Amino acid sequence: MDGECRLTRVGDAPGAGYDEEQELLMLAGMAIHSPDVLRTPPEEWLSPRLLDGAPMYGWRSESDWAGAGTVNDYLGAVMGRLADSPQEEGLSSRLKHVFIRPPVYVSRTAIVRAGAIIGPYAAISDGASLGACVWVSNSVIMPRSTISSGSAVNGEIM
Amino acid sequence: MNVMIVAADHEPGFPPHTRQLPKPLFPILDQTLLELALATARKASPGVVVVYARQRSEAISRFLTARGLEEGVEVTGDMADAARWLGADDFAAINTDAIMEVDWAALEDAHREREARSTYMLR
Repeated sequence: MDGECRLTRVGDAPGAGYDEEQELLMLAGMAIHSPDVLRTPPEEWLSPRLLDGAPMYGWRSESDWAGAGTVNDYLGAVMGRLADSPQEEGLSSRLKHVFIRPPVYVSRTAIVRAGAIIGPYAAISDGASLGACVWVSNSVIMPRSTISSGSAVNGEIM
Repeated sequence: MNVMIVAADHEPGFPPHTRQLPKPLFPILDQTLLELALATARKASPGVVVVYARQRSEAISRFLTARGLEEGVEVTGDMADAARWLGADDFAAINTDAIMEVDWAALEDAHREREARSTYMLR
């Protein structure tokens, strides 16, 4: 951005001629547009290119933000939510004979068999089914997924 | 201000079995990426929220109905439809691949003061 917040350069990475004194900012997945952009292909305004000299500006946000576009970003977003959310009280009572290592989230429609170890950092989604003695940590178990008895899942989206 | 939620497709690298589920319906604990984007959009007090999904728009529409979130929301894979619903005023576009809080008043003020064609939120 220049001093008036006008976008001067957009790219996937600093390229040739990059001035190291310039601050690098990241597109945050949100923008306000004039309706005339809808006459151009979405690729040109969803990810901006400075093709026609149109007045395109940046606005810097300091608010909470998390990306979820890549596998690592998505896992990071879920793990961040787990860390920031209060642990459900009574979870150990709801899940009999299951060892809970917070922070965890277990949907009320998930089935977890006895002997399972949940956590730390595990999110068990709606309708998921975990067999006996499963260990899930640092992972997201997707809706309606089934994890076989005795499996260990760490750092994965299943 | 009306809002378009751009329902992001899968990026390479996600396990094949997860592709059965539209990416905007990926869970973040008890909500989905789409629900979080919708909650952000509602804070702009929009007349309409358009969910633009190039793929599996019917599945997204069914999900919104099942969750009782369909009021004031139009789902389409056609940009011409989206343009018609958004109308003649400036609109906001939110990508479901990001979870964010937005200071709507400050962002709208900045956009209008500069008479910008587009104002992108940066971090």
